[in-house]
Amino acid sequence: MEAQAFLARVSAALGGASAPWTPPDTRAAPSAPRRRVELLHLHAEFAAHLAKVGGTAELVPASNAAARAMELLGAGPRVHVGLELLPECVRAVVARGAAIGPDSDPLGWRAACAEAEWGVTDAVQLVAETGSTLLCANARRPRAASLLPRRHMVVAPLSRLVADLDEALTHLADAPSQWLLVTGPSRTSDIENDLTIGVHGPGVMHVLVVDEDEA
Amino acid sequence: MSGLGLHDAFLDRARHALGQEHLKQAVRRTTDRLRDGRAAASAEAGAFEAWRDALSEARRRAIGRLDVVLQAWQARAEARGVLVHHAVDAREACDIVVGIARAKGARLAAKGKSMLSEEIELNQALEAACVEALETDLGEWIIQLAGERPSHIILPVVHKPRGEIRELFERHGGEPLSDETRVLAGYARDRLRAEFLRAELGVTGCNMAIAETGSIALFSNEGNGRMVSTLPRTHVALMGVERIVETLADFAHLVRLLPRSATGQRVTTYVNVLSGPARPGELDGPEELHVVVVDAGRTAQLAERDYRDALACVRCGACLNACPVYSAVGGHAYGTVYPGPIGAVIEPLYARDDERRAELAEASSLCGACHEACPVRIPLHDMLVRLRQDNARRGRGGPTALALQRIAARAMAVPFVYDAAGRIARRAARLAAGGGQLGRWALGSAPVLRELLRRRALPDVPIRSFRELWDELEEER
Ligand code: SF4
Repeated sequence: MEAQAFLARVSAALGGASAPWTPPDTRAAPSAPRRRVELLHLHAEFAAHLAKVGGTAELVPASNAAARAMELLGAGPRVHVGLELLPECVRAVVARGAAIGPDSDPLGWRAACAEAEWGVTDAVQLVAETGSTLLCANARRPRAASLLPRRHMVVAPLSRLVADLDEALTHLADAPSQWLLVTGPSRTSDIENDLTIGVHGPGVMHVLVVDEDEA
Repeated sequence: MSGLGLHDAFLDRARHALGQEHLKQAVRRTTDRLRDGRAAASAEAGAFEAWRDALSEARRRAIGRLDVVLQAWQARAEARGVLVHHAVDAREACDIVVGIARAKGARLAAKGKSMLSEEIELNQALEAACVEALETDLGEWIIQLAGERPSHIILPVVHKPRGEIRELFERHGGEPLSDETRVLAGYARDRLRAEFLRAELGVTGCNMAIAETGSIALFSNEGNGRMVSTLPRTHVALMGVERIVETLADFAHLVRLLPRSATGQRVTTYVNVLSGPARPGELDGPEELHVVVVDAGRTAQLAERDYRDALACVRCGACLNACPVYSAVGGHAYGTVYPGPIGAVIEPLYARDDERRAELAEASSLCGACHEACPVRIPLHDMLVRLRQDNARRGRGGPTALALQRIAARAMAVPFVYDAAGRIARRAARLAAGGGQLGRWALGSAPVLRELLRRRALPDVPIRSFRELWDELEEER
């Protein structure tokens, strides 16, 4: 059915056309950057909630981040988002060896993701309330990096922590093609209520929170 | 047709379900687990009641001006490249999806979980057009392999023991497997992975649209919804016309409440919000994103003021888990796509002339547990009472039952008549309960009562009525 006729039916069911809709005012009040101690508290909350659903988060000083990332990533095949989106200290390690990034051709990219042991991404926000990471798709952040590999690593600076969902969602008014909250590994309870991890999406989700200005 | 004038399909299916021990236990175990999870999540979150208020208000606000909210959503979605379609009924919705599949030369459609797809019977329509429709949610896939229908709107396969699942998979793959959950889930992962990469078309539902950004949102735990909305070149989302909130701020409340109400999770593993197909320069994501907005009886419900609130439903399943009737008989007994209290309300409303669905209003104890569990506070039990009244008014109660109700209404209006009638009835019931030949004969000979007793257990009969006791107490004072 034509859109106009369809909407007219809805209006009729409501008992007449409604007054025009006005979009909400989304200009977020500018907020002062959080103090380090607040961010550390938020990180603790974030990590605790993520742990409850089988994900893991650790806070590492920038000086130690490369070593830690190398230890976790091993030598297996990996894919990653644009390196410039990751904290500088881990870029070299993530790009090492058999790593494929968003400069690859589309078909090669998909195959690389399906083969990858790790997919490494950034996160636009880390949400303390739920232990969620907020991922946004764009040309430098292809979607499959967090979907097809067996394990998913998020690397983000401590300053990306926000308190709650309301705060996280205010950043999304200009709508990327996809935004995504990821909270823990893929899971199902479909078989006799028995929880299994890693059904379709990654079976491991690890967040490396980089403390860039540790004293 | 029986004296009460209603079909007995629900009764028969319910009796059948009650006879199956495993089914009973599985449904009970699942509803208990989900209900406990929800209770824990709501106790933990101090703001739970405030969120319920906020989400209830947001959903009713959007539905109260659905026409302009839809229009705003569509304008923004189209500006971001979404192709929006409108379907008045199931048939039109299927035709649209089949048309897209044909235009794309699709042979395989990989599907995420969607109750709306069940409702419009999309799989049958696709298969008729020679497009294989593959369910990829683990539970839905098992259901599809078994050739059954989902029995719960969140956990479609609660009724199936693992042994049966193993046998299904073994028949499917032709190799022996073990009963372990890990092994069974692993088999599904491997098999479905290849299909995700092969499918030309991805089909999903839409948990909620967001007008402010022209988006659609998909909640999932497994990740199959992400697969089918990312890998195939074309993604089609089916959206019920009422599934929309106005703003991202409203949506935040849904993110909090849908998982908590459904399974007790703080948030589902994935909350996937799509605003258009892949943009220029993006390496993956679909080339085309179609959203089919489906009415199928919903605007008719919108026009019925008494039932409009039921459109606020977010399909969390909490009312199913809270319902003593659902917990006892499971979803298949309802014989409809949506079971439980919400099903008993919307199924008759979607098809007002369907006698078979009308009887579902009887499948409730009217205890109100569903209303208490509902994150958007839909007064389901009130609506069930009203539906029963509608049934009676439409003569679905049958002439004798209707006459009886009229007599009762008159009697209750006059205290003297009410008292006298009560005394006679109590005596007759005591005679029957005590095994008196006369009493049993008296009850058995009244066809209306016979019918009623087939459906409902007779309560214990008090020796004296409340009014009689009250009078005695008054005298003693
Ligand atoms: S009626 Fe309420 S409790 Fe039942 S599924 Fe809908 S939102 Fe959930």
